Amino acid sequence: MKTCRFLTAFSIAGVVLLAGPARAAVPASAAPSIADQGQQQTEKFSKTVPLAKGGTFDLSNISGNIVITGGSGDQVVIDAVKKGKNADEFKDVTIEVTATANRVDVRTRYPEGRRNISVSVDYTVTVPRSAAVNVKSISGDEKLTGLDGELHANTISGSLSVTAASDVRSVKSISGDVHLTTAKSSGTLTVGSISGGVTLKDVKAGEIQISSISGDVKAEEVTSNRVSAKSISGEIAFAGPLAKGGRYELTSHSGDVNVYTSDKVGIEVSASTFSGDITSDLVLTSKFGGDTPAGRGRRMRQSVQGTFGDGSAVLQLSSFSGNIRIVKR
Amino acid sequence: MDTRRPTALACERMAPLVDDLVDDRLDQAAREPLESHLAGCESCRRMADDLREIRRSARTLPTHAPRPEVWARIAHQLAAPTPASPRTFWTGARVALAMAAVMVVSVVTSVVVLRGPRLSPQPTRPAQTGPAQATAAAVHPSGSDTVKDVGEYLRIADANYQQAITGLETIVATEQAVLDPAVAATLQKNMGIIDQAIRESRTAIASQPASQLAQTSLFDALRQKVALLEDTIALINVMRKGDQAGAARIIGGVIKS
Repeated sequence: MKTCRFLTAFSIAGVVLLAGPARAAVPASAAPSIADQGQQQTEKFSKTVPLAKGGTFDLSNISGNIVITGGSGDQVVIDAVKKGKNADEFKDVTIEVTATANRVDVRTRYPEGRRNISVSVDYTVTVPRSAAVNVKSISGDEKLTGLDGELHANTISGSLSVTAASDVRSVKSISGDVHLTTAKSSGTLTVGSISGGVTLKDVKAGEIQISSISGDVKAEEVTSNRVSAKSISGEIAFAGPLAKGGRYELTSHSGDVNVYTSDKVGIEVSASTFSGDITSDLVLTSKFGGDTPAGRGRRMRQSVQGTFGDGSAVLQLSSFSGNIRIVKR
Repeated sequence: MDTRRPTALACERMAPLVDDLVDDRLDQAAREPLESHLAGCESCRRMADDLREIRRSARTLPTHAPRPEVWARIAHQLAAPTPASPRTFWTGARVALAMAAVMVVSVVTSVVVLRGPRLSPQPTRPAQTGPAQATAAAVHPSGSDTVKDVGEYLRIADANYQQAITGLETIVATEQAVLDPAVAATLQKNMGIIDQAIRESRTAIASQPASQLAQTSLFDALRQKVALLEDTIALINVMRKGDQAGAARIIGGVIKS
């Protein structure tokens, strides 16, 4: 299994380099509207730009929530709300949109050399469904829906939710939860959080790599020939379906590892724990001859190698101090 | 007449092939006489078994290459002019050494895998006593000694990882002020979780040195610690670009507001 990576300098740089010199921007097509709600000021920003089929939309934000939805048209519709309390700070934070035929970049720019600027920008964006989307944020939640192009989403402090996406490649957060629902990937799907939980439901991909340090990993209705899920202290729960010829490596240091499967697919199991228990609802035939002492809820040795049925799906399960369970659904 | 001599010569002739046998690089013509020799020579057979064990253990050691941005950070530190004020203990060179120590893990692995221990084969012979045996024992490690060597390789790799981690931790401790406090706290908390896993794995290895799971857990945890520290440094690095400290403070301000 590859080393788990939660961040890449490339992706972070894309977020953090917002404070650099401003580039030439497409003139705003809509004048911002400003409202002073007591101490809190808000400013609305709207802009629509065309994006060719197969083009790329890239959004980098410092603080604020992001909602991106795939639409049927060939335009990017950007609606943003800037919020802040200090008038000077407020006007110094700008939204920059750079557009070419095949690419639209949106950046929130903060002034250089200033500290403790309490200004955030919430984005609501509609993009052509086929657009590739890269979205990065330092602080704020990201909600991405109905996207068919290649999708990369990162946040440092915030949760990530991806729904109905056809080509998800990477979804990562440091401290927030990550949810993928009804998603596919034409390549390798990498999903991770350092301290948040990771949940996948109704996900299809050739290869899936899931990682967390302290969060739980839950994968349900996940169809893939190769799944790797790792956590240090979190629990891992995988509820297939297991594919014939598939390989599933599930590892936690101190969390439990649970696999929920039917008895319709044969499995070859290699399970080991240092101080936990291993149980299996399926009767495994030892690779060294004879049945392993498995029965519903029955404890086995701390290391088990065995097969059930034709052994066509390979399960490698390990937990240093947690329990390992194979549960029949 | 020395009846051991022909066997010893056979061992000398066969020993260089054991590496290739273990690595499955021998053709049938070369393999047959060697396997025949191993069947009758306990010492050479033990050596082959030891080599297989070492390779198996070495496979649990991950090859680790620091990411370019981390190297860039180190290079930046090395290239930076020496400040007038005293530098912190972990200068760029020391960090480079620390990272090089990580690379030693790969080197150790490679050395172990490619070369194996330089053992002189012992022929099968009756037990003997006296100085001759003492000399042989000193020159030719026994099977248990070789297994002990595997443990030593693991300890060296562990120590090198730890050295690298110490260097990276020093950078992070010195410069993490550029990070938002909440993010820094999250990273620190999770590094503590990894540290706990490392401690538990080391304790397990101490009680059961042959436990492959304990070894795998240890090196998985060490690798994750290095990766997380590298990620943290990468984050610090980009925060510092332009006015990244300001950007981080911006986030801090937003979170507090």
